[in-house]
Amino acid sequence: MPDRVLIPARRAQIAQARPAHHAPHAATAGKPLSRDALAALLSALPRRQPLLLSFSHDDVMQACGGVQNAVREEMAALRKAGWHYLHASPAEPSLAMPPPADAAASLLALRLDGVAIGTAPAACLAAALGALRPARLHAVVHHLIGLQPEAVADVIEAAGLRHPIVWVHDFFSLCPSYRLLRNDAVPCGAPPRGSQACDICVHGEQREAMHGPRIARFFERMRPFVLAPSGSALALWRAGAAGLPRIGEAVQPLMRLGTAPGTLPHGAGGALRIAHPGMRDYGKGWPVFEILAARFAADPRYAFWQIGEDEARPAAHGIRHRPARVGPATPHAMVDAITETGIDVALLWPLWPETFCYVAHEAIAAGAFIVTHQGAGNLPALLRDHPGSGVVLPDTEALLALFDGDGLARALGARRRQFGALLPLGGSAAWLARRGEQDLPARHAMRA
Amino acid sequence: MRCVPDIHCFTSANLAYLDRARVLGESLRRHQPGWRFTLCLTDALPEGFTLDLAAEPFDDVVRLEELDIPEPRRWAFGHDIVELSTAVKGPMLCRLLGTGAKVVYLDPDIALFAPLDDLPGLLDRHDLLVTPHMLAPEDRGPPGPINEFNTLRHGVFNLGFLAVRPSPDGLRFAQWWRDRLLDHCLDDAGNHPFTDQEWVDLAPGFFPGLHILRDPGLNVACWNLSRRPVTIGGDGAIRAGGVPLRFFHFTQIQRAVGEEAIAAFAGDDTAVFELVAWYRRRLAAHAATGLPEGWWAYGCYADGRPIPRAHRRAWRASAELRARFADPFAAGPGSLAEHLLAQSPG
Repeated sequence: MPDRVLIPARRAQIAQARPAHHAPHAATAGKPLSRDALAALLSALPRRQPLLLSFSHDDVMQACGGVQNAVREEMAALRKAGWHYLHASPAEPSLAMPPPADAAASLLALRLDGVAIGTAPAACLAAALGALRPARLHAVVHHLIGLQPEAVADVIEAAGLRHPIVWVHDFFSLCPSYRLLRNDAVPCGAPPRGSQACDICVHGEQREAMHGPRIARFFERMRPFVLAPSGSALALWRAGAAGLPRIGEAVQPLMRLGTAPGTLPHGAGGALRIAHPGMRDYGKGWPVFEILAARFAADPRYAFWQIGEDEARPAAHGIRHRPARVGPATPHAMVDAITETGIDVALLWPLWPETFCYVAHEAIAAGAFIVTHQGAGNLPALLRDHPGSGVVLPDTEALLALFDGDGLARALGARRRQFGALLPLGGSAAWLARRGEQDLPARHAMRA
Repeated sequence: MRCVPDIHCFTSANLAYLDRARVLGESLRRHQPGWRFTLCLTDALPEGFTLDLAAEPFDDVVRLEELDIPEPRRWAFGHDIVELSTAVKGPMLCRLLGTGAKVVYLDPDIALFAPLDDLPGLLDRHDLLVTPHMLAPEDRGPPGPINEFNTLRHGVFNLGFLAVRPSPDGLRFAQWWRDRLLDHCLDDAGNHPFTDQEWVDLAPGFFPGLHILRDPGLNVACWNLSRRPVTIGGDGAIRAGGVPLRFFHFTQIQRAVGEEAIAAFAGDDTAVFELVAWYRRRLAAHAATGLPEGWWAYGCYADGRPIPRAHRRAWRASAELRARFADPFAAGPGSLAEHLLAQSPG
């Protein structure tokens, strides 16, 4: 259904869309590790303790975001269970897949049990793991962006493994446009490669010529087990992944949310506080929030807030800003900020199908009422699982109508803030536990 | 012996439209690789600028001087940049039909999105194929039937597309159209039949073998967008008015007016802006590198002064001027330019 309110924002996004090229945007400081030094570090690990080899797109102890949360929680869960955790990410993170021949792109930043141990080429890591052959080992690929899938497969194979877990935190394994936004603007659902839609998309050429074939070869070599953090993410991924061989797939939520009825009413301080929790980003729905804030800037019923980082992007229309950054030392920063700011309503209007959405869980836990839409990926299911936590609307016309009329006041009038607790499930750790492997998944069991 | 292609396609353009012609050629090679494609060039190459056919998506380039036009340079003087690229379509059509091929003309600012495989078969049954600007009354967009008014002023059919077979009636059409364009191709809608286009309003009466194509996927443009919304499905197919989009006419898309016209009739659709953005990216990829700013070989007098449209009109209108000045592009004493400037008021 056309979404008239969004047309100007969509047009602006379409006009500025560009293909993602491999261009390192940061460098991880770290001492170069020789193969011998790396082998010595790994061989010092007690052999009876299992090791999880994990790949993602950046340094999870430095960067913030959903994938980084998931990896940190996974590491924490496995460490509690007595595992060691070796994390590898590009030493020079990038928003695209580096060419296979780019030697510099194979340099990995390594953390062992959360501690930076240095950088090493993927071939060096492969050789160290190959020589060591830890007794019990498993591999997880959280993200491939910025990594060479060939190099990742080489490392996993050298360690004697196949069938790693591959996560669907987003849709990078289907398209360089990892949110499945055609021309960075319109949800596309991953149509067949070479379709007319791909022909006119800024990402189509890469998807057809490089990305798609390289990802396909990775899946053919690895035949992974695919985990998605929500049913909607798995369904969408599956629809576009017909040609990607895997040994299985399952849903593994990243977090459990427990809520309890509260006693505090909404809007006790006057205007209802409406927040955009998260980045000022098109995909996260910032344009919709700006439209809403502009339209109701002079309406005394509402006050508008953005909770998160400002990313040096301006906010107009009287939108107030409360900084919050969820990181290794501040895992509750978003919950705390929403609570302390007294946010009544979290507008979560992602313009892509969110695969999990940590911030929605955080907003509910902080007592906010969620307003979202049908195309928001995991959000409608989340609200179905937590009745009374929010409302799912068909489109932005309905959103404006909700704010124009007294719909929001009525929805919140009799409601009491319900606060909640968030229980991280540990990512792959939870899946291995479900499989009865949280103890020690034997390497031979995971071999082809 | 040279093989006659099933379809010989051509476009006409000056070098400022080379990027557009290249995008058209690229799309033809993708969707109709068997068609022969010729650029009719209404320009001359500036010094140092080359056209390497091996690197171009054209099979041939035909220059103005190669067409069957008496005194082509003097004839060109009577036309502005749009009129000249339009007026050559008639002589070029005759030239290609003379090879025995079925001929398709496409404007340079068109791009194919799907094959046109049915055209050869349609030309087995009909002498000439045309696409109307509009296939249905206007029902949305700005107040008033603006596109209906414009169509009535500029011609029922959009001559960005034309297909003709070398049948007796096809050849008779081509000869008639050529003759009208040689003498009467003027961009003065409302006062004179509009360029090459409005003449063809007469063709359904003159040529019974004319067939009107009614596929809404053909020749989609701002003037018919209100009834042919562009959508992109989950299957990755681009549709116009619910049927597969086959070619889009990106009229004046490099100027703000082109996108404004699309925006006025696009309604709730943003898919059409994705087409526009894609087209602009292709144009940028095919830019004519090294072409001097504002280049057109027939745009200026020999001393570099731009030729006013009034001078071209005066030249056309006066047999005396045409008899008196052998080279209308000359400058300096005794030239047409000096003569007309002396007569200008003020």
